[in-house]
Amino acid sequence: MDDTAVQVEQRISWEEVYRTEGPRMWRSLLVLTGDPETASDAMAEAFAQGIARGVSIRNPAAWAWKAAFMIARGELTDRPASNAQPEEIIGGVSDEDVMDLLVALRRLSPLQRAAVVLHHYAGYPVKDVAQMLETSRSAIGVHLFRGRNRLRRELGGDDHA
Amino acid sequence: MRDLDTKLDVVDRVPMPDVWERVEARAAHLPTGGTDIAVPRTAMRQRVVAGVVAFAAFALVVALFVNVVGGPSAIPPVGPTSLDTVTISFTAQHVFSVDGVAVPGEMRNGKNLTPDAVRLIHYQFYPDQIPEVVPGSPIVIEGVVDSRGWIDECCRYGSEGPPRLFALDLAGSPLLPLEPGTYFVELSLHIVGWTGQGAPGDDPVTFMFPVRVKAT
Repeated sequence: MDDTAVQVEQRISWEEVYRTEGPRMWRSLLVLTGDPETASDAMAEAFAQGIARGVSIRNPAAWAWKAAFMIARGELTDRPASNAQPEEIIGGVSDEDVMDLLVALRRLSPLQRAAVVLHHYAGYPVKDVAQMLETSRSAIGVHLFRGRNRLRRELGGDDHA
Repeated sequence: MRDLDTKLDVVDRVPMPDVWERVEARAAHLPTGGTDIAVPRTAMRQRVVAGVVAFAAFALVVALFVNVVGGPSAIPPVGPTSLDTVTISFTAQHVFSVDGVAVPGEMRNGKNLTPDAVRLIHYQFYPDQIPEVVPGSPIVIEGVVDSRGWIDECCRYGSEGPPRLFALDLAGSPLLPLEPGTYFVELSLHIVGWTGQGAPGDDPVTFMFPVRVKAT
């Protein structure tokens, strides 16, 4: 197989990851950043870097998730948090549940938000979340505990986790 | 929260734009190989730098104009005239010094310092002992295996730590902010010789040092 064929095959593989993981990843990034444009940018940059890295990445899906969250968190440190209204974020769709959730999530710190979304929305175990956010499992446990408590206060509901 | 997963699932109703075209356009311009994740600096930082440069040029023009019209001492000089060097050394004891002079202080929670127990260390200073430095002063860190650093908002002590303002480029030449105010320098690092924390794979320890950037 020549180099061009290898590149095409790799790109198809990354596109498959994008098609399968993309929607959940983009929405996770949206929850983290509160801004659709930043979410799209972080995801596009992660996949672009993955394609450029080529065969050296053994698990493209895991790498893309970690890269996208690292890039999005870099964006958050470089620019102030988005002031976009929830209606703008969800493209004018009138959905009270989504708006309540987005407003409540803004009350969490970025790390609490990232931990909550990766664990409770994306479904990653604490060990993987710690690896993605480059911190310890115990720290993630604390962020999850506090994030859940905060969300419970904001949204109402049981706390049996 | 038993129903948190369900509550978060409402995000699925938000329509996702197709960003694959953006992916392909970017991939064409990126270097190939390696596995490291590069966190790109945003245009925001470039705009800030451009803004600072534009303001400096504007200030120079104003200064020249005022010199011509109003005499040589009409406005004070712009910007710092000399920089302090903030050195944080972990080669023996963690010593915080400014221009070679150690800043007195003590670990707030480090009296029984054991690598297994301590993850967050605050240095405690009296208000009049928080070092004052010139805006944009360089930071030097010694005796560290691997580290990450941030400038944090001051001064809310709490178990979660204060909000981070920006990351320090420890591989380059990290600098303190230009804006006067009191900040924390937060370092998350692995220290040479600390059992269980001396290698990049171990859990890091976080140190927080307050510093006051004075007005010029």
